[in-house]
Amino acid sequence: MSLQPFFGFPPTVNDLFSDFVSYSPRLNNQIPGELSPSIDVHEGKDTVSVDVELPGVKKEDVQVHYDSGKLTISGEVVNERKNESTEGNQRWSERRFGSFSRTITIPAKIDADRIEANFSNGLLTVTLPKVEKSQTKKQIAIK
Amino acid sequence: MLFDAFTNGFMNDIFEFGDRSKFNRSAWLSCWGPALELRETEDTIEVDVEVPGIDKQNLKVDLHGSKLTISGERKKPEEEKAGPLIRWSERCVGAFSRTITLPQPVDEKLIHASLNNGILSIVMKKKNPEFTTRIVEIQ
Repeated sequence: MSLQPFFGFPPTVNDLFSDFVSYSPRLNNQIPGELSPSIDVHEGKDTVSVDVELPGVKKEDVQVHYDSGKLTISGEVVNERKNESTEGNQRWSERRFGSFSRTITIPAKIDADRIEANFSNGLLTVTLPKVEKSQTKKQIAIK
Repeated sequence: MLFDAFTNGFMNDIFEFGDRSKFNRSAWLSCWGPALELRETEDTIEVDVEVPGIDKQNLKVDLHGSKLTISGERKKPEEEKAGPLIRWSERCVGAFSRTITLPQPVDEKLIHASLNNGILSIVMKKKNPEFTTRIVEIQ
């Protein structure tokens, strides 16, 4: 009987940890005070969908990039009331403004040509279709 | 996730005069309620609330005296649209309610609320203070 390494992690724990790290760049090297919009990632049979909360952001101020399995959403939340601050007295603000950037590792092989992005009600939804599996099954001859 | 009404009110009172923008928005704070901003001009009091992805019919604005309450609910995404496997989730789902005390009395008949780009904006007109000027004769 082979002896298991005493300090070795089980593969599942390693995989979980790896997934956790890759999905949450927010926890890695985060600059204090940096804007970090909330994200949901869902996977269906044919697509992976990503929802990003961007309240008060205009469509022209957001960029969506996909490259080598990584989806990057970046842009800027503009403070449109900044000009009014001379007249208006800001009593209390919990809102955050400035630039943001978030990168998500997509857990599937994606057909990059068919990615769609929709922006509605301050919510950006990116739909990434998976590569369709070939329906041609090759019959392997047994010799 | 449903918020406890008492805790919600309690926390609102604590943070009523604080500036939370100094803190990083932690998951707890995010799920506690939406971020808001209160501004005051000469004639108006204005409140902006971040409610991304919530439709107008799922939002409510109540003004009772000097207390303004914004409540609403973010529904769980339908499985058909979002897909059955949740790979990562940071957004908050459920009902929320936030109440703030306005710094000055406002005219309850002149309140206007609009929803744009996931920002709920509420504009209220201040009540004109009634001053009765009385001339006192010096004898």
